[in-house]
Amino acid sequence: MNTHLIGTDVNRIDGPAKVSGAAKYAAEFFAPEMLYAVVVSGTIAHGEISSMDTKKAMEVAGAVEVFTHKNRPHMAWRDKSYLDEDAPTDGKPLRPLYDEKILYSGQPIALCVAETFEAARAMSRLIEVSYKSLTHQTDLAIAVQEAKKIEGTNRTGIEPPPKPRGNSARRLQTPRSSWPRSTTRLPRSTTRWSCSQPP
Amino acid sequence: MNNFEYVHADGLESAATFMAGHAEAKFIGGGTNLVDLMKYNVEKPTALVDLNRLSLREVEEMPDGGVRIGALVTNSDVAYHSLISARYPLLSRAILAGASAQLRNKATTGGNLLQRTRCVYFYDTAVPCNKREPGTGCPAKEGVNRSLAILGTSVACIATHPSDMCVALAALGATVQVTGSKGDRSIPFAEFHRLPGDQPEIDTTLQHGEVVTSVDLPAIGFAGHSAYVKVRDRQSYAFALISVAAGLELTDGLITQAGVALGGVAHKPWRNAQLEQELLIGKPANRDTWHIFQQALLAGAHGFGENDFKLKLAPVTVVRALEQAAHEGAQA
Ligand SMILES: Cc1cc2nc3c(=O)[nH]c(=O)nc-3n(C[C@H](O)[C@H](O)[C@H](O)COP(=O)(O)OP(=O)(O)OC[C@H]3O[C@@H](n4cnc5c(N)ncnc54)[C@H](O)[C@@H]3O)c2cc1C
Ligand code: SF4
Repeated sequence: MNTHLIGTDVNRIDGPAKVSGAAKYAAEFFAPEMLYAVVVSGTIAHGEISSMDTKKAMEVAGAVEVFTHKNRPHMAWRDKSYLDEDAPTDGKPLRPLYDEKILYSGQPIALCVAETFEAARAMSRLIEVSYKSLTHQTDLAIAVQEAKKIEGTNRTGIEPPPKPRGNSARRLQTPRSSWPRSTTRLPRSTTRWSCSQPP
Repeated sequence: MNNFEYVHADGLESAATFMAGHAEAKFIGGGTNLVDLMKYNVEKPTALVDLNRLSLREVEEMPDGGVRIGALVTNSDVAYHSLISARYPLLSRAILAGASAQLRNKATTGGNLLQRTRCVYFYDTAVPCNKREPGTGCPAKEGVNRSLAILGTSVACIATHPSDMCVALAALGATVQVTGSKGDRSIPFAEFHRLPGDQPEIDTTLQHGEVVTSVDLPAIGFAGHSAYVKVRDRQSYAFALISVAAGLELTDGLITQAGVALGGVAHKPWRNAQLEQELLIGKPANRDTWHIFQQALLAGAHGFGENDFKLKLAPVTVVRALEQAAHEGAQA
């Protein structure tokens, strides 16, 4: 094996291009008739959009369209349709511009599309939004108290989680020394990845 | 960012004339602060007047023994200029403690003076801010205020001026030369920036259309005894939580001249020349002197929650800077 590279300083092939600004980023490759989009984010943490006026944005020279929850293209409604090899099997997929509900601060609420990036950005500043704000909770410990159990957990096409077993609350009240030791030992090479190992 | 007109000033007079006819126009120097703020939609000038073709790029000695720094001299060129590093090392150190090499290469002397606060609410157009939109309120007082002021605050605003360079210029007692349609003015550094009061939207006493032409340094540069101590979250590329510029002249262990200014504590570099006269001049250069001075200088400071730590950090930083300044000469 040729190991002359180990311990030697080697210049990056694209180093000069990067420091001089000549290197191209993905966003700097242009295709003919390409359009540009800028996302508008919501400014409240919880509530709903009561109205949205996109008229002024559409008056910007080069404006093509403003997408909102009112005019977005059709979106699959079953969670399963969003599954791919990477998606977690639990939880909900992100459905941008799905409806008027605001679930978190900075949620995308509109997409401004234009012939130039500058026009799209100018449009994004001209969208007028009014909200119906609800109170938000950012303290996880308090939010857990208010958590509700969702009934009917059998969501279409997705395996339900296994039934709970044991009683962790009661177990935690007993001294640690009386806990049963795990009988299955993880293979040595994988132990450092495991979070379930007793500390 | 919105569309705007872009013109080059080819003379100070034509720049003033253009400005007189454009109430929403702004000058641009290096653009390192203004362009950022335009991208954030905080600054919305209808026109930019580029000053870079004006011949304000000299650092020159003055007949009175002082040094004049042209408004377009970059922060790097000031910091590394032989006159400055030899005679005003405090200024070099303060500049080099700020931003990054790339930014300092671009940033100008005039622009550094007029850079705006880094208060996070000022930058976020989705929230109220009296400085950005007068009358809307100041969420920083009960919110994120770790980097904000403990002195000279008002009900309307508790922002800090973020510059390092200006803290040194305050300690040195510089003079800002400006020109506009109403003629030339010399503004003592202490009067250039203002406290927020009930008009936090106004940072300085510069009038619309007035150009900063130079910053003049006095003959005394504290070359023998000076220190710039900047306390920040990271050792590089971070704004000051507290900074102190201290310059001393000593004769036989007694203080004959002094200039001490703080950054990160107020809407302007914080200096009190009268207290320096009373509590430093003629006194021995030792810790007891620094303590008495520090207590008087920081009297009345109060925190807003997240920034309460500055009440403890400011006094020790003043003492450390003065101690360092006094000892520096002994070693040199
Ligand atoms: C990432 C980052 C980190 C930074 N860190 C630090 C730091 O640690 N410490 C620090 O001190 N600074 C720091 N800075 C701020 C930097 O010092 C300023 O942005 C710079 O000094 C501004 O100079 P400029 O010439 O680019 O000003 P510009 O952006 O061109 O202008 C700023 C303002 O000054 C006005 N102006 C410019 N020149 C004149 C003139 N001659 N007459 C009248 N008005 C004029 C403009 O109209 C504008 O309002 C940082 C900046 C960035 C972006
Ligand atoms: S401190 Fe000043 S800049 Fe910050 S939110 Fe309050 S008014 Fe705005």
